[in-house]
Amino acid sequence: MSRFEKIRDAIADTLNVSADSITETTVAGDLPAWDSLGHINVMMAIEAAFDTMLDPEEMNDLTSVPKILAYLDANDLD
Amino acid sequence: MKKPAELVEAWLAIDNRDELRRALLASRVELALPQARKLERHLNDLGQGDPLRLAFVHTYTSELLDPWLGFEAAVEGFAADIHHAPFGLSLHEARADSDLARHGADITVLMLQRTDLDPELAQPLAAFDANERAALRERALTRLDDIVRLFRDALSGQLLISLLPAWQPPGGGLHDAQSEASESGFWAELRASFTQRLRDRFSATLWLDLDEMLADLGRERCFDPRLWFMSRFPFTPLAARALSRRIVKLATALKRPKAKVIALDADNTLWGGIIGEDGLNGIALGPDYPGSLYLAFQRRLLDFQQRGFILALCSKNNPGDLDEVLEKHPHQLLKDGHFAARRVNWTPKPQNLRDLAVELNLGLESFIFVDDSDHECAAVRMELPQVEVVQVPSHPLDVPGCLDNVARLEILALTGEDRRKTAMYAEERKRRDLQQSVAGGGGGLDDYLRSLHMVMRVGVDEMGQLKRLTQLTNKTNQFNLTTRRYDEDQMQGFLADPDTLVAHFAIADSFGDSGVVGLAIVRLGAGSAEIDSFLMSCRVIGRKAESAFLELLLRAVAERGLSSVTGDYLPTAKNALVKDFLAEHGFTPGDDGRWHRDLNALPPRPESDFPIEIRVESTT
Repeated sequence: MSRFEKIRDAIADTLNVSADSITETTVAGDLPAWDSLGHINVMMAIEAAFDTMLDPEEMNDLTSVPKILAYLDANDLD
Repeated sequence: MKKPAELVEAWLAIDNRDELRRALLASRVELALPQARKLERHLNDLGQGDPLRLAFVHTYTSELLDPWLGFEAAVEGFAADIHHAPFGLSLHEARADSDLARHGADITVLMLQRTDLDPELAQPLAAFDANERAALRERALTRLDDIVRLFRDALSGQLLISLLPAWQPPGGGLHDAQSEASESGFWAELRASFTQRLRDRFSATLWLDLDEMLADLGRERCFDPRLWFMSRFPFTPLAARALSRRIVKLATALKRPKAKVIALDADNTLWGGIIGEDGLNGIALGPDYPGSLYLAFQRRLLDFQQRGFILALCSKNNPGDLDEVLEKHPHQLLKDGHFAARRVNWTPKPQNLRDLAVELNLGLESFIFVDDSDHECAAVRMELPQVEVVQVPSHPLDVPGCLDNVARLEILALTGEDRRKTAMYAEERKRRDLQQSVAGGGGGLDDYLRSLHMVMRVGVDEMGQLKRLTQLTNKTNQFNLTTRRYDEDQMQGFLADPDTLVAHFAIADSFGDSGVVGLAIVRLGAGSAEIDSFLMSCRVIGRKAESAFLELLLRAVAERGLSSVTGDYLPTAKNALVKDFLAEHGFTPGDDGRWHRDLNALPPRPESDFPIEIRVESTT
């Protein structure tokens, strides 16, 4: 499973939206369920999916699929 | 051990909701949120949950619990509908016409923080002197009392009160517990005082003990400081799930049929091994591993009994083998007296459970069946779907806690009655019978009873009843004056002895025949008689049979020219039902601590005093 697919599934499962509604360019604002509380849950899901620990600044920052992808890339996480 | 991801995949392949539920409850694997949500959807695909309405009044973020509440609710077969009051103490929501009240929650959870109880509590406790701390404690208690009262008065349903523990160690550090201004001591004391108030003054209000959850998880696994300082949400996903689990367990206890009986297998459940094969010295039970784990399980069962659940035995054993363990094994904790009923035989377990239900006069839906065998568990699940089945784990290490996650074994309140539940069943039945009879007869109790056209068949010294009479002495606990247990040899001796009267009765009425349900053993001496045993099955209580039978015996004694009768009431944990029986029948306490009735002063009452026709069957 690619990095993007892992992110997509984590977000889709967490927010209860279809995987099709998430692309490599999706940002939080595209999905009503990805609101401020939804974002916390997405961050928890990303942490669990990639076995990482985000600091508060990263959590505040990673509000889109591209940013999450860039973070994983920078930290060499799959 | 499988990896969590593999386990989740395996669970997602299960297409039976009940089986999936069991797998989830048995597992201690930590789930990530996406996994929990996937499983929740799968559970919901397998069957629509029953509605469960939850509400939160919260001074810190509670909305992030929702996915976990949804998941845990789905595990227990509920579909959660959750309402969150506006952030803050929202005392204005404590009104009958508020959104909160209109949500009509089955359970409303108050999620409070320490500083909600007094703004001064934001300061270090050590900054106050002893008087100030005492005053602060009183203010906090009063405030908590006021808050709870306000919501209790305004809302229907169950209220859960929680107070968030500190996410950091106490202010006094490692010295804290010993400090005069101990923080942990202050909060422990406040909790104890407040929970006592809850017990004494509030109904349907329960302390949801987050300290206990914290003890379960540990501070580091419970709190996520990142979320606390960013989002006012204190919990890790693990803790969010654990808290949700606690709330849903209580919901289950509240909304599902009440569990009342824990029906237990014996071999590889109460001890390791098989008594019939391994023998008294071969089974694992005692201070050493793995017997220590079965001992711990038995000890746990005593806790459940204290919660008000009655224990019953349902095992395939030779009764003698089982009795040997109960009576003689030096480490056996559960004795005969701990079991309200027992079926120890080779009959299929579903039938034994049905029989236990009849004997205890309880519905099968109130039974939790605990057994290690795949086969027995499957048989009961198939034949008696209303019985909740808990399979004892195969590894002894998992045995002691195997009932801890059974939601229906949680209780929301505990009364003195719960603790003497076994005896109460008989009394309840008595009451119910009386009510029904008065209502149904339209007249007095006797009118109703006469309308039953009861016929009591009395047998005396009947050797053909040996087995049943022996059985009656061994299984009758509640309506039993002396609870003397006899084996067949002893009973045979009584039946043959001309100076011992062994009388039994069966009773039939327009609804059916009870079979042999009553027994008396009376020793006839020179001039006086002594009631050695007098017992009756609880299922015929409330029909005056016991009185008719006793007076019949007294007539038989009088006919033999004896003028006084002595009886005993030997109290046990279970026979409080008959503690007044002798007094109610004209016996008076003597200096010797026994009960006496002078048949000259108070002659036996005639048959016509009772609404029962008596037929004494001749003996051969």
